[in-house]
Amino acid sequence: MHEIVLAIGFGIVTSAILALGAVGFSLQFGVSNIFNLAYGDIMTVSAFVAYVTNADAGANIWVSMAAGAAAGSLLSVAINRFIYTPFIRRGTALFTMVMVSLAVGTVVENAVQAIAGDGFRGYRLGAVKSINLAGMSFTSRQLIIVGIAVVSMVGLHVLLRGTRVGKAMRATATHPELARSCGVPTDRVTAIAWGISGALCGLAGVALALNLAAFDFTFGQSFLLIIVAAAVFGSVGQPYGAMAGAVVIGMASEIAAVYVPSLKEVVAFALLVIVLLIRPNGLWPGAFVQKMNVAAR
Amino acid sequence: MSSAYQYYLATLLVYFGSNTIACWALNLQYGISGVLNFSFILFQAVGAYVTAIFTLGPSTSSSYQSYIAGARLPFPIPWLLAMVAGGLLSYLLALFVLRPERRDFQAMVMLVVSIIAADVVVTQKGLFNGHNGLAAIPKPFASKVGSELIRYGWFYVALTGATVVLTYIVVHRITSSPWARQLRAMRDNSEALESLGVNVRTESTKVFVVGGALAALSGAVLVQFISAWSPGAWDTAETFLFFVAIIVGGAGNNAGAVLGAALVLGVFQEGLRYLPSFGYTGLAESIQFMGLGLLILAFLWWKPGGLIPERRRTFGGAPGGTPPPSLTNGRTRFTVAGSLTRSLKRN
Amino acid sequence: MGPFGVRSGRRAVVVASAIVMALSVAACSSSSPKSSPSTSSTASAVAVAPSSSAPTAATAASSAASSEAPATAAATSAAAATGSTLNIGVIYPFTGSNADQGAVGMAGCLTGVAQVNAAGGVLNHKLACKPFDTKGDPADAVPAANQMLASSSPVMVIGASDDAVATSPIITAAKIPNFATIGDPHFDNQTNPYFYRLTPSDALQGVALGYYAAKNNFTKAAAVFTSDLGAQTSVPPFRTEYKKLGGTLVSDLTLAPGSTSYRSEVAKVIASHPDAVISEMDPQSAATFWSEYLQLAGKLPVVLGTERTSEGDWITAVDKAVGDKVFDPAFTSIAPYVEFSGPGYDLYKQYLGSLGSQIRDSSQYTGHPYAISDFDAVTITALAMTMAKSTKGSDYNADIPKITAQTAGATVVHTYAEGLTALASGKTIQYVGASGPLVFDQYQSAGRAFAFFLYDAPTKSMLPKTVIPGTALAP
Repeated sequence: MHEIVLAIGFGIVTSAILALGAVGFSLQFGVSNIFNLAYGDIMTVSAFVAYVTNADAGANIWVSMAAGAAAGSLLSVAINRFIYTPFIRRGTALFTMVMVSLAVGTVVENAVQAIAGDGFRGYRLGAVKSINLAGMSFTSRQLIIVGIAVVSMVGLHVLLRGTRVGKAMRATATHPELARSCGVPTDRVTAIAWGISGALCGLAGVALALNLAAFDFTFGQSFLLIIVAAAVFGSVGQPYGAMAGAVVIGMASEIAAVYVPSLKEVVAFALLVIVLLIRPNGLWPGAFVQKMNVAAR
Repeated sequence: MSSAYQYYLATLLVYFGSNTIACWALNLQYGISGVLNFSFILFQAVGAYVTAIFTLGPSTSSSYQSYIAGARLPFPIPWLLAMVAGGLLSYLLALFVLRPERRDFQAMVMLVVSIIAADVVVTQKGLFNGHNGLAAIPKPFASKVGSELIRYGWFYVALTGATVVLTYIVVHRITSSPWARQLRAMRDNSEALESLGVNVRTESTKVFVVGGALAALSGAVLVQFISAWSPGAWDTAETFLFFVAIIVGGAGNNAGAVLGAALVLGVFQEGLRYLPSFGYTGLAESIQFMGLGLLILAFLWWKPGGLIPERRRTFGGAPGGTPPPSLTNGRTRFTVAGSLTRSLKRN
Repeated sequence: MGPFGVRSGRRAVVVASAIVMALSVAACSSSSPKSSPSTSSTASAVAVAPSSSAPTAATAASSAASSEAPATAAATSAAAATGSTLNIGVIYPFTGSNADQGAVGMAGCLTGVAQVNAAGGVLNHKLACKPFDTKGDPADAVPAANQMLASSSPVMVIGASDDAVATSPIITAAKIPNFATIGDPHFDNQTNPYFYRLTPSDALQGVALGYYAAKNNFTKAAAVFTSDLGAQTSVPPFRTEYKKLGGTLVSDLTLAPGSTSYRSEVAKVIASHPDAVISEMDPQSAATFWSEYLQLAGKLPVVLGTERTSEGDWITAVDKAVGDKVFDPAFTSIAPYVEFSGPGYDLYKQYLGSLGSQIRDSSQYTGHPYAISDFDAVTITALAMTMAKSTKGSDYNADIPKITAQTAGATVVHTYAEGLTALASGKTIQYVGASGPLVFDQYQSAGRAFAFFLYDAPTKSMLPKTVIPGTALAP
């Protein structure tokens, strides 16, 4: 029983990290209709930027995380502005855009390998103590990451629901032509959305790299699938959906690890599939459903 | 031509044949009926594994590889069994996953199924020898043709060629039949079709199953040439490479699939190996991969509808085609309403 | 209605131009991949095929792009080689998650080639290393092997790790000797005369682990392996041996590789109170697992790793994760015994240091058994060629086992130069090189003892401390 309680605690940390990534991905998809398969590689770049700031320039890990988030944000905005948008303007089908993002991801990943090499990197960190809360065990660093995730989720919710920018984003996501004709500057709004989701991507990348303790140029892409799986639950108006997906996967895999460690991801994914089959519109139905239909054409 | 080059050419041709069959299969599943089969590579893997275990003979405890079942069956029975396995797997998947109005989650579920399958095969060594995979798989007619490399190579090319021709006959009949017209329509406008009484789900299941069987066949062709198969060969990313091939070549038509197979899976991947090596070890190889990404981007930029775009049909818009510029205001969104509007304007 | 439809004319143009464009990419390559400018005299002596022509078979005689270690002082050899440059194919993953294997193979090849070329080459030919990328899967490895044979006509091949089951039949069918460092038990009883295995079987690795753990009072061990790698080939023999010698497995876990976290599994292992953990994981999973173990338990137990965990990339990853102070006392390994001393090894280290920009961060391979074995493979090949007076695989293959065999009355040589001298005066030699004795058994697998390794912080590698006699591991 104690093992399960511990596992729940661990699941909270894993879920928080996955949630950061999943919500960012879901935001990108929501606003631009692009299933951005280069997302994992942008996470990798952010983690490496944070490494350079932390290990080479000696900055503290939280400052480095901010640097990584900034890098993720800049890179995402740039890719959208200089690659994705021109392709869409040319009339590229939305499913073809998935292929475009895949190609971009390949270029980015191998560029990282070419520049940084195949070796593993790890952040320079101070020692941390373990904190025991209600039978669960955390470190202060993990609690801060969970905190960052929660703040990001709440902040995103407030942004989308309460601010004009947020409303403009939701309008653009639902019907860009109509939004434009209502005077919404859709291009700028899209750029802002990519900036925010890119920052979330960067945060997720650094948080994940911190969690893994050592990482190389392939790590972002290898965790992309699990993040996308979680993101499927969400839609741009309700980031909680992606969070829910992250929680399902994070918790399920940690608890399954107590019983069948080698198949824990199988269990988590199987659970995801079952939920999707029972509630195919996701836990929070909404704009996401329509979009994937569209992307499938 | 030196013997090494002959063998290299024979290899490339066999791969081209297998990739062509696979692209036609994916084209049936995605291009014709619009199913986003993100677990596509799984079907090729199933075909390869089934062929392997039914050619290797039963797994004995003394052999270094362990796997389920196993028999030593003569060609072409293993290939036929592979197709049955592929079709069966497709049917099972279709039962749970193919719901036309929920196509949005099909992709995710299929992707996840592919990941689950990979995990299970790697961890359960008894299934297909886990991480190391199966090896020393006998080649068909090896004793009759002789094992001299080049001679057997050309024989296998001929065998592959015959298989490709047979596959084409099947695929062409499907894609040029009225049935296919229904399916294309279904892809664009399933709600309308349903209201006309067409059982969209049955039709798409049929196509999906045929596609799955053919994908398995492509695996069978490949595995008996390579004589080895392991989880590294059916990484999830391979599915996307096949999608890129048919999108670059042109989705929705057989010629596009062939071209995509030749170009993306053949010329790009193999041609890039010839880039000169420079700098430190590994640099040139990562540059090659970047080159692959850039080539794909270039081709998609030049021909967003594919090199051989789908011919416009009289009803519904061309999903992969380039819409007339006047209808877009810098951003394109394909919705049901949009495509109907375009088709009305064209008429 | 044919496949190309009505507008076949226009489509044909599109297709043709696409193919032409793409083919020109492929054809516009130099016929020899390594294009660093050559400084050796062989370049001028040989007619170089123009680089824009389609690749021809005569690539061995083409551009003498040199892969020699640039800074080797002894490069100005006495007899200027007037023959063409011969290629050694190095076929490994160079991209993807196993990309480091390629660098290891090249490190071994380049150092070996540097040694041979510095002593005048072999039979008046210089050697060069050509890399070929398998991308880590058998379906891509086969075209890579074919391309290697066609475009570089190698005289010997090193490779291809996990995909050797797919590539070695192709290479050996062309009568080219193939040296591989792969522990897959598939090769334990292989009978192909052209295939040589330089590392012991994974099965033996497992037995060695069990033997050492039991004999050194680790009576309550935990086994933690990722589901790929040796989990399937090393662990069953380990369990058998360990239990046979009286050990108790208090925890036996197989992990899913590449997980975001292993905390629950770590908690299980900690709760079983093992006195040692026997473990083999890929570098990424290991870094995550051990850093979480450190966090949850406060300290690490004694960890008995394997060959895989003695390699530079693994050590770097886990060291970064837990820190040097923790890594040093905790991590040990049971791996094939390499002495890391002696004239052969010193020469290896010397050439490794002079590789310059050809290998990134070459010092990480100082203690890498595979790179060291590959270095020896090149030397053995050159000596066998000298002995057979021919560079053709079919001629010199039979001499390979003789070079390292423990023949009575043989002169023991430690370097290529020594071997050349001894052979010139008609002696029988036994080459004992950088990796120690490499005596091939009847299945052409090099018999090796195992040893217990401890971490050496200054060199950042594992150094052997106690040798486990081969007799102890015999079934």
